[in-house]
Amino acid sequence: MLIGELIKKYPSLKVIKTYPESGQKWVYLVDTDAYGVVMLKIIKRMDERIQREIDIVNQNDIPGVPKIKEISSFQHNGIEHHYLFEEYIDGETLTDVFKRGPLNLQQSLKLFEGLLIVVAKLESLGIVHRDIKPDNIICAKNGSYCLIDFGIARNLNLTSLTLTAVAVGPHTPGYGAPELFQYNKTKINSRADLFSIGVVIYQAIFGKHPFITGKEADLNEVWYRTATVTPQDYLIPGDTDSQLIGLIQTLMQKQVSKRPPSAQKALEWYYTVLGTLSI
Amino acid sequence: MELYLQFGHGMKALTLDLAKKWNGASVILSPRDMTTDQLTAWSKDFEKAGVECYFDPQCYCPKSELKRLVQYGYWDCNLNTNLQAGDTTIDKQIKEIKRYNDIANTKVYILPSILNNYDPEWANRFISQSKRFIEAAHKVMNDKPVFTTLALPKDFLVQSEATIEPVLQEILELDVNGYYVIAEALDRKYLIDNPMWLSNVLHICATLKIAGKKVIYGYGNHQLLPISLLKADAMASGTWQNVRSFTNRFVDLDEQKRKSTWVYYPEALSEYKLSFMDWAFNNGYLLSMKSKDKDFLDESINKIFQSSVPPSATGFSETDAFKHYLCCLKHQIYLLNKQSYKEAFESYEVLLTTAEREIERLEKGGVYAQARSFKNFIDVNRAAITRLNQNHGFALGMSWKSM
Repeated sequence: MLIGELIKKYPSLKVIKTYPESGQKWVYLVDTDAYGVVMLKIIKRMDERIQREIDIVNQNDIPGVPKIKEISSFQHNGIEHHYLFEEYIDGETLTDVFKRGPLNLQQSLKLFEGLLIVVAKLESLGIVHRDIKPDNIICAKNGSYCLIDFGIARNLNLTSLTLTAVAVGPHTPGYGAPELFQYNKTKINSRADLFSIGVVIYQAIFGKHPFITGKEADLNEVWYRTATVTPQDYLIPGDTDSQLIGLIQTLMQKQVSKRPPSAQKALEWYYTVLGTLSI
Repeated sequence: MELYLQFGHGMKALTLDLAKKWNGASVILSPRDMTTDQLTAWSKDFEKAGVECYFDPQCYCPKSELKRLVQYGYWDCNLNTNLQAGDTTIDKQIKEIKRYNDIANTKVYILPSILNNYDPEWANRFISQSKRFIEAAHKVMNDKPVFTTLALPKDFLVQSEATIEPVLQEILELDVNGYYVIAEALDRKYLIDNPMWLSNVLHICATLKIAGKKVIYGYGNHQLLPISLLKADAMASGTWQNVRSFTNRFVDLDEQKRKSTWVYYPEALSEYKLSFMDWAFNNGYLLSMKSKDKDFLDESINKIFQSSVPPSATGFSETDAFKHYLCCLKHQIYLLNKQSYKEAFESYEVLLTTAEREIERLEKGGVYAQARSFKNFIDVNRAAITRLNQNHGFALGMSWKSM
């Protein structure tokens, strides 16, 4: 195991937890002298996509995204292996939280604001996350929220790594915006992330997915419902002018042109809406 | 939103008259309706009268044989434009268009556009042409804002929103300050009875406005008043139907058959023939068609309401009817310029409800607006604004102050 090689390099390193192996990385929770408790990710094989994922987080100070403490590599059997230490967020995924029920309004608003701030920052850097979903949101024990996994993020300033011939861009069905699997995967922007935020916040407040019932026969039905079903309007206590639900619905509009013109604008609108709530 | 004048046949005197009455005006000049010499001379007259000019190159139908338009330097001697030719030709034509803009001392440059029929390749053709004009414009038109013309064919405007979306995204990426929107009328009709058409026009214009672009809607009429709800910068309208709605039958007006004089009753959003006004006079209904809002009562219409003879005997002319229509339209736009989207939306709903009630009331008295009754269009407009509200209501509400 490569972790053994790293322990030779960092004798005081202690493995606290081993996470299930993924296709691209081995992931551990470790205790180190230099950084305390951090995530250790050993890259199985460095490629352009992983390099970009690391660069996005490492080269930019993005609020609400775990920071990379160190990136390095070591030789083993003549092969170079890259690894990184990343800030550990003590908490659980939003998926696990949702299993206990919806968030209360205060928590939902905090999540909403946090995600909009992250996406507005990403927008200013020309980055689209493309995979905002409960699995990729960590609810920290201190009440804050972090967005993780930039594995399929797209840097709009660089050429796409997805083959042009591939009809469907990378995304998670049910959370990915219609343009990611329909007509416009080559021309996406931060408004695709706004769609996903809308879905997550709807789920956080109402405890149910806006489009998916769980009874879909296949992926095509999930896509079909995402592209066609208008989420039901519910009353949100304190949202007397229906501004909060209006904003959430606007984020989830099927066509990009009906969503806010930018993530920055969406964030501004969020603060305007916040002022209308009686809470 | 402001009302601009869409220059048409014989509109010089009316433009000057309205500029005097309104303390200034904006006009979109029409080379179809003025020779190059007239453009030079009239532009000076307009400038003296405080009229701000815009120049619409009117290259919509390159195959048209328009006797005045073909005199302009950007039109070729074969009564065809070279707008589909190579870049060098486009550069020359843009320079010529700039020259006419300089003569008219225009406020912005309006770039040409061809009205192509809608087919599966239309969008690619349209965007590619637009980009070539814009690229050429950026070489020489750097001293004032540049507007591209969106000449939208009727069959495109009845497509689903999903079909329109990718085109709209391409339009938004055009490197211009604003858009001059020309929507081809369905079946060459003055008023459009298909809610998809109006809804898509509103959707396109709202998207452009929310994205922070300027929008001037050309060849408009009172059915397009709801573009106030998306805070379009201006709607242009004029005298004859050929400057109040846009069709691919882009001809000289003097080739068109002149018809009756129609009098606009703003509360009913309908126009009534002078002969029916006479009928209303004889049956005691005429005074009930006098607007309660005194700002709708200009000196033209007062000829009718301050007289003891039937309207047709008052000397109320075609020009009076045009002037009255434009004054009413300007005031209706003013009434829809509200502090918030919600207020504007509610005001427009009231306007429709009032029109519905007035048309019904007059019809009960036997007063009919016939072909220009808004009766069958109230629901069309209601449906379109309902969709506008669903699509963009929240965004318009949020953006209203900054638009």
